[in-house]
Amino acid sequence: MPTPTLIADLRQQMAKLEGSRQPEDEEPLSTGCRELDRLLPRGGLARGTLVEWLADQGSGAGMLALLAARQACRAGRALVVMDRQRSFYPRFYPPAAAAWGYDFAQMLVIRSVSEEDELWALDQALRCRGVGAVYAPLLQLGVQDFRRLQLAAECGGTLGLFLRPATVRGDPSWADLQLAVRPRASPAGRRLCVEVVRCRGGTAGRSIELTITGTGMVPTMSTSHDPDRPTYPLPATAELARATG
Amino acid sequence: MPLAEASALAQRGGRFIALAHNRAADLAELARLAEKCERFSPLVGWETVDASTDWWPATGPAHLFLDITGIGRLFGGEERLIAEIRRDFAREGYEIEAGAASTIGRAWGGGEVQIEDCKLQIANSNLQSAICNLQSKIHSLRLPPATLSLLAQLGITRAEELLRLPRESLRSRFGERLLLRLDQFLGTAQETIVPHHPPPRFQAEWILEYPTDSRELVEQIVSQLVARIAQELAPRQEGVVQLACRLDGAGGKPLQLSVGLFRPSAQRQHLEELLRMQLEQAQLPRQIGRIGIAAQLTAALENLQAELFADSSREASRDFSLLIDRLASRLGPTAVLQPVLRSDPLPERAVSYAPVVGKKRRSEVRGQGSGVRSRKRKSQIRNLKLPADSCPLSPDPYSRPLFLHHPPLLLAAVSVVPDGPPISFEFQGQTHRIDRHWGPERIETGWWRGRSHRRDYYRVETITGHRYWIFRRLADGKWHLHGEYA
Repeated sequence: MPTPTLIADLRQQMAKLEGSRQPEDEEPLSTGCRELDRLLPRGGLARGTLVEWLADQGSGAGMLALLAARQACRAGRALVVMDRQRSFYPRFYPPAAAAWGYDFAQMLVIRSVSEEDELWALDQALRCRGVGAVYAPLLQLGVQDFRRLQLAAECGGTLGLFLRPATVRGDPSWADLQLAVRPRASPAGRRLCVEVVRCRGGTAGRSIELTITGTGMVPTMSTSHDPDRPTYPLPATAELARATG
Repeated sequence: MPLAEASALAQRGGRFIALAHNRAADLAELARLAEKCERFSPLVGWETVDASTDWWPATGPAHLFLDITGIGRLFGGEERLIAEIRRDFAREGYEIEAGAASTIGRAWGGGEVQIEDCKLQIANSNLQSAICNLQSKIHSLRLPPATLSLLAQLGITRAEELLRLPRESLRSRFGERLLLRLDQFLGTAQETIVPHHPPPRFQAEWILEYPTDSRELVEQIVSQLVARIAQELAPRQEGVVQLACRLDGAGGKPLQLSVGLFRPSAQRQHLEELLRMQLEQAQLPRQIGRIGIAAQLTAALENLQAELFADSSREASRDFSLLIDRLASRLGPTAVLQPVLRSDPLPERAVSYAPVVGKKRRSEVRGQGSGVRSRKRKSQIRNLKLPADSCPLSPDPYSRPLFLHHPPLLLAAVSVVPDGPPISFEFQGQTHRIDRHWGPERIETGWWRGRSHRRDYYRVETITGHRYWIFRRLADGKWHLHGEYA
């Protein structure tokens, strides 16, 4: 008969095996909403990991990611924004960030031209200890590049926030956390449904509805765990082996 | 001459083009000409324009000053030197006025008087000729038009008449500037030529006996030259902010590399790495015979004190500046930017980007004359402050979208009433039905700023909850998608 302590022990061992090599005692970063934090295994986002926000354009995920970046950029750490010109894809517009109270003195915008340069710059920024968070809209990302970026984030202790199209859902991923954001029509305020698609060491499949007000995020309702979805993500290692093999 | 008058005059003649004055382009051209003049003089500069005063060329500096002490005989006399300069400029299509004298004030007078006399005046260095130059018109003193017209009203047309008046009354009537100009003309007040770019103080050069094509050898030499510069800089507690490298090959253009740094550095490995990153990407010229490296801009190094307990925040900020250097070196200084808000109603112009490398920050510029270094230096990241003219945005955080299309995308939108809000629009083959909208917010640009823009902006939410920022161009009623609340 498994005792609760045994299960807790095993869970810790598993987390150690598959989790990042960040110190256990480090305080988790809040996403800016306590109810959303509660869905995450450590009560928030962890430094040195990647977070993917899956959403269509105009759905509000960029704003949620920017709010999370603000938490990671406390204590004088910088925010690096990757802003590459793509056809039919809009570019980052800083005045909106300023309206949310961002300080440009700690913001660096990288306007690279080629995809190769962007990946290199992303790797360098994630590797830097002076950077709190890296904010990047990424359409395509190869598995090997993804793994490289994940190692870079782990090395620098930075939080990588990647905005990705909703169509990449189900693709192999090295992100510790994958959140899908869908807007909801609502008579008042801006309502978003955030779903935990995959989550290392935590429960996936849960979702929460938030209403964004001028001051922050307020939960509307939360749905419980969906038993059809696997609790743990399928490891990306298998995919990587197939790709390199 | 006012523009209206000029255009009225020109209409008889045929085509007439009026261009807005571009001060920056003027300065850049003057800088190019100054560089060109460096073959005649080791010290070329232009007048310093004090923006706070009503100093005369309202359009910015327009005169080049050359120090030609002892240069004249190389060209066979000052007259010939000036004739040569004149020819040189004429080849570029410039007609210039030139004057040479022992002080800047008198040379300027010589050049300006030319406009009327059409002959070259060269004043000698003795005072006698200065006095006879005083016969020249009052215009040969560098004075603002207001002062000149006042003098004309008083009937003073010659400089010597001014000298007869008591100095004190001149000062109280016309201010300090008139006396200063008079003294500069006579040579009793000192005036120096401010060189248009200070010659690099730290440079190293390697001339190869046999030209080479070997990349390894070039890298080796570059690393040695960098070491030489770093060695010179380190004892003076200075670091490089801008580093230039020039490789001269046989024929063709020399390869010029430039490295801008976020924070001054005299570390050999760091500078070497930055240069190598550019060398790797560049195509080396064939048969390289000369390699030169110069520190074009230097600044005081930050003092580092050994610490018993490492301060992680300081280390992090140091790491960050290294990151900026690396990014700027590979992607170019124009790719590593910091946004600056501007008070412009047009959304695409409401933000500009400033490069963060290759410039001295205010705290690093030494106090002139005193030689005292500014010791108060907070975290470097914090030193980059917003300029004073940045505007506060409206308190509504949703007034602007987080992502902006540039240029705006043309849309097909439907609205029920003419000039009313849209009810649906088509974008990328999909029809988006609009559930709610906010607006319109009318944004217009001033007619004096070139092409005018008049737009009605709507913040719209579709029935799926997606939010967009669209506008109708009032000129032709066409709808555009400008931003997305991503």
